[in-house]
Amino acid sequence: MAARSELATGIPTGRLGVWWFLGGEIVIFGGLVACYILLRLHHPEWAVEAAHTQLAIGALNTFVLLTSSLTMVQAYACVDRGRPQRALIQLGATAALGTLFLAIKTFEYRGEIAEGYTPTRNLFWSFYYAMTGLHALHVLAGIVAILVVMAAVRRREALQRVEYVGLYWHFVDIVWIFLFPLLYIASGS
Amino acid sequence: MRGKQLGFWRRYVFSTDHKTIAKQYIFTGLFMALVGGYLAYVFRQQLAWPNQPIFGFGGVLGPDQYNAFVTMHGTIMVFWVAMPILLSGFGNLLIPLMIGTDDMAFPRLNMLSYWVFFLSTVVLLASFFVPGGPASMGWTFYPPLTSRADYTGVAWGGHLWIVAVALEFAAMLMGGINFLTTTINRRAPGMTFFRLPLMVWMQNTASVLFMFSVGPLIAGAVLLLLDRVVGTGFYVPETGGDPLLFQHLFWFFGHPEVYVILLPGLGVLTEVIPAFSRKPVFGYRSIVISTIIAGVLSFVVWAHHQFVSGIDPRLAVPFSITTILISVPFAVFLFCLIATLWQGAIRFTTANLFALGVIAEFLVGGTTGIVNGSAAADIYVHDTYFVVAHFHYTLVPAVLFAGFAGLYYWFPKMFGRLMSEALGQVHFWTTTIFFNVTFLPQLALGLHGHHRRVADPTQFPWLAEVQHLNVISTIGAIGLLLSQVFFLANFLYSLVSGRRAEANPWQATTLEWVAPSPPPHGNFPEPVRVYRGPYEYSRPDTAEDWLPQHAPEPAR
Amino acid sequence: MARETASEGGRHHPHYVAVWAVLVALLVVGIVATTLGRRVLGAVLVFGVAALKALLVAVYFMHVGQEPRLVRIVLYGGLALVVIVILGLVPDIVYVYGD
Repeated sequence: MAARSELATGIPTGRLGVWWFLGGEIVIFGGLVACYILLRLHHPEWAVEAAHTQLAIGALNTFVLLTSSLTMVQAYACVDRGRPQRALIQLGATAALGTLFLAIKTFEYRGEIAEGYTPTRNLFWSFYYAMTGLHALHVLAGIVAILVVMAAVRRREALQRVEYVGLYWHFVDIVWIFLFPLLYIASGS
Repeated sequence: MRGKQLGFWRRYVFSTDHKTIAKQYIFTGLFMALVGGYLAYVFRQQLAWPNQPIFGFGGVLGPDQYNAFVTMHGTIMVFWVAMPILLSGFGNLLIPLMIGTDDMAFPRLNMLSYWVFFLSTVVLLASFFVPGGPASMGWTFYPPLTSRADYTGVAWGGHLWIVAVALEFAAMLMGGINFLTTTINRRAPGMTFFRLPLMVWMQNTASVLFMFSVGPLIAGAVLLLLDRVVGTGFYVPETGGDPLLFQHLFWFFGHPEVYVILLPGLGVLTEVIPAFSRKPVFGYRSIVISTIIAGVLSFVVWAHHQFVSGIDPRLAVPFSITTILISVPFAVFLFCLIATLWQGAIRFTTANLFALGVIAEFLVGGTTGIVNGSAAADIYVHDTYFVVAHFHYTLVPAVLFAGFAGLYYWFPKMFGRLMSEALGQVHFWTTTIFFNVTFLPQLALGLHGHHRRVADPTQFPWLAEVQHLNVISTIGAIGLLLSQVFFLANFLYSLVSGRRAEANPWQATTLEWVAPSPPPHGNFPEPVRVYRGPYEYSRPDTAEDWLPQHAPEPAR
Repeated sequence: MARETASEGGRHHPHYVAVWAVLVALLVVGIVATTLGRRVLGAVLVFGVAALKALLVAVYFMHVGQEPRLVRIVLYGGLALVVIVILGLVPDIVYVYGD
């Protein structure tokens, strides 16, 4: 049998891996946001374009995502307190809210494209689609991950993964918390 | 042993064993080195004897193809040779063995990492065969030249280049997460951070640098791909975009990337030189601390690649200062290695010769770097063969020489057989001589005003009097490539019928030499415990001149 | 958020619904701030609120405060690099020399 090792940091290996992964994700989204902020400051005239984003829909989606973070953290609390059956309900709610977010986002894209605000209209809209699109892909990946974790939880296996997928989900929520004011609110009047 | 129960595919192809994955990375990297070397051979021929049919290529290398060959040579050598061999190959092989554990923290993620890397290799090689040929915009892929396919006539080659590099980054990120998590959480009892072999420190520092520098470039590459495919204008000036933005993102990654490659190479030296000097490494903590300082500094030097790109002149001075500052920790590092040799019982094995070669050649790379690093001098030599010679004097020692040192040193651990020393010595001397024959003339060519991206030097009248230097450089390059025949023959011959190696053929102290050669799946027959630092050579109170990390304290 | 309950795993679970209520209230504050008509004050409020929301999620939902120092170094290190990129590029991208 192979050598056993010690947990030198007291942090479970899986969770440590997730944190390193999120560290890498911070600089990916951070780089994209940095590009946007720099060019936005260089082009004050983009405020006119930003005024055409749908503030109400963006706010609704922020609310949906914040609520999904609540159900996600409650799923983790259920697992931590030894009630995996209730965690399944909370995880299902999180996946459903994530799906709702994507549905609203799709509806929003359709309306914008129909009115001529396409990705190639100008750079503001290019950034809008690139940033929200990359974020939406992360939400989609999160939903798939939640479903995989749910299948394991149903078999009462790998319960620690509820926390790991939760960390990722909250990170995606935080990204949206910044994208919302950057793209929807900061119209610069 | 668990390994016995696995079928052929799970054992050799879709293996989760870190040693098998390391070998897969090394073999892929060596294969790509042949591809990259062949490309260099072809375009060196064109530079020495322009517009002549090239032996082994079948015709004349046209200007478009010339650009493509240079681009792919740079791309392959950095991303598909240096990184898989030094970082993924040696890292995967050595980290679990050196810290005394059975495998990586996430073995299946590790397997996925290799197969994503393999896919990236296939995509890159496929780009040679699409209409328009492979990418030809330089390995730095600067917009606006790259932001529209019709600017170069290379559509699919460029798209595939971005996709291949993105896949390669994803593979290396997975590997990096594995390295860091494994090192932090799976060390054997007694293996404190300051008892880790320096190779483990170097691999992990490199992983952190890669992980935190590559993010902005991944974002920037997504935007560039959208520019090319969707038709957005993130880097196109007439839409309000900024080509300089991509240069900044590229070099914010590109400069730390130099250290991502260099640090594992220096890590090989920190194992090989103490083992063959029979002395503890000089200044263990100084090396660790200067590595961390260099890592932090490497994030604030990037704009020194852009002194002539039209950046704000006020940025040039701070970036000159940080650039010259970063040579201090590396000088400390190299002085520590030289001091390790002082009064040692030096054994001139092939591995050690290559390690010493790194110190000698890297010195030339480092000192020419000072010239490039100060903005005033750089404006004169920028984009000339002086710069080409400079980065080959840093990267060839770091990748090729250190890589060879590592392969000769750990070959017995990987395959259970020793490589031939006689062939190895011939390989070392021919490689060193022809390496200098290739790149010393390029320093002079650069100072004479030879631009690095010209396909035909005879079109420039002032270069006529130095064309003989181009010829010497090409002869050196051909010699350098032919020298590798000694290595390949040695490698393949030793693989099948080299002398059998015992567990610890070099009498070294670190934990990988405790495991059998080659180690079985699971590495150590019984759990190891660590009692001391990694370099206890020539202790006066022990009978033998080495005391391994796992051996209990000898009775007095 | 004062009422905390400890779990079997030793994790402290704050009152998550209360945290969520604060987050939603902050969302409303952020939107109201845009209607003030004051450009600089609005921007400071909007991004201050966003930073506060992100901090609340990180501290109470991701339990960053209960993690070892290493985790915080990784996260804050990444954020610091993003700030370095933005600051380093301002002279080149925002105020182009010679404009």
